[in-house]
Amino acid sequence: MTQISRIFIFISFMSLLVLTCEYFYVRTTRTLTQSALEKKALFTSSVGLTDLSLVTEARYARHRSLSDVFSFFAEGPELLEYFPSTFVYHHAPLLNTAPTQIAP
Amino acid sequence: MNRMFNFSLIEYALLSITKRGSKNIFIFFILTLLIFLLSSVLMISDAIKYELQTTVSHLPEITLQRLQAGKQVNIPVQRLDELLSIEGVQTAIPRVWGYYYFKAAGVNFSLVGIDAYEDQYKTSLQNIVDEHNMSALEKNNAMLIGSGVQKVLQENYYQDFFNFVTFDGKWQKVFIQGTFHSDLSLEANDIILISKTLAHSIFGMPETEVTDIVLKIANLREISTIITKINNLYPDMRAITKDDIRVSYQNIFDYKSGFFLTLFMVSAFTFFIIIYDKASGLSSEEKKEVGVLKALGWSIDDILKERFYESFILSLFAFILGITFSIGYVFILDAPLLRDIFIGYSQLKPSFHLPFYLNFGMVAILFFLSVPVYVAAVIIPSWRASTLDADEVMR
Repeated sequence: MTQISRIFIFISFMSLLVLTCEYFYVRTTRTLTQSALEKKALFTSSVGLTDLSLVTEARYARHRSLSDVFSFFAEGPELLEYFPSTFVYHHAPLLNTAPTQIAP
Repeated sequence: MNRMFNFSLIEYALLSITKRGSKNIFIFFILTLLIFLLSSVLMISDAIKYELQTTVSHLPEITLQRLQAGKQVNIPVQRLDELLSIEGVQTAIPRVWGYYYFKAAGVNFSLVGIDAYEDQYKTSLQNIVDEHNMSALEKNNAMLIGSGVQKVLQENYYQDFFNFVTFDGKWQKVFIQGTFHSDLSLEANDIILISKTLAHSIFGMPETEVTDIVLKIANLREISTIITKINNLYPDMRAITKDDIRVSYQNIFDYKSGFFLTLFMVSAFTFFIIIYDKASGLSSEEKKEVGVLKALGWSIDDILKERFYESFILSLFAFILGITFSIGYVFILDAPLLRDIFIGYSQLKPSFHLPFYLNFGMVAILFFLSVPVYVAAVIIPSWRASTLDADEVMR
């Protein structure tokens, strides 16, 4: 076995080891614990709003599941994509189930 | 020697990788970057979806809104009795909630009024708030706030209380009673929880009106019948079921509307450049190498195997490194730079502490989109070269 093969085996072993260690580290530290899940459940059942507070610029982006068609036109009928966040977060699809639709 | 697995060929492939070092390092770097970028974005969006899905089952079965001229308006509270009389409706809870714009910081808070801290709320709230003194909450002018709200208020010198400006320009002093637990940062970052009467007075809503009504239904099979009854009773009311919300979470990111598509196109374009570069023909030196190998007695099979090992090792390592980097980047470093795409530009930013969730299907798709494509892009031109005669290739 030449030196390059030894280096290759060493590098493959190390990279797999790092990936495995990282995976288990993140899994143990960042998975939602039972207590966190219970807290989320209590919060959701008492407040009743679950959309994440990642975007707070507009109500139809913050509480997108409960938004209405009209709120999209609040900034002017043709200005649908006023907030950069709406590029990322799509409005709730249930808005478009009505017979009169706004083009997505 | 085992003909299926020739170790000398692997050694030759390794030597070949190091021989064309600078070119291979460039390819390795681009491949790693591409896989890293794509898997990071997909991991973030999967984790956000997972976070949403964990709580959706605790939502009320039906949320009722009233639409007037296509716009959501308040519901008269008298409708509550009619709704409760529908068979199958367990409870109907009127809610008062909305946005409060805090001018000094330029941020929107979500103001939620709940039923003056009734017993059922008190026990559950006790568990999700850092402070454990719930008795003071019975005082009317107290509130529970999310950690983001607390930070914004402290920056504006509100330590223990906050002065809401009510609809008629008066000040309403409300004391901060506690903050939501840090586990709830993603859900409750911008939430202010106050009593319903206080919410009425801040929003300037008459006591006889509420924002929406949520219904709890005991038997899930009755939901569609109950919605039909409600629609007959009040045609101006729109019912949003828990399933609707679950569907809306599935489609939270609209691929049509751009950002992910843009990212994907940029990355795919880079990848195609590499493939094009590889497929557009081997350099004369590489062709000569194939000729020498053939003259030395290598079969086409051996040459292709060697090329396969070479490209497979390179792309597999790039894949492993890309995935390793993106797990660390998203879940240990909390995705700096890339998180700005997901959290908007408002000053009220939540801690981007996403729960760990790895979608193995996504990893597999990424693998099959990168490694075999690259391997094919390397093998096909060498197959063309190796089918030619040795002296013709070397000439």
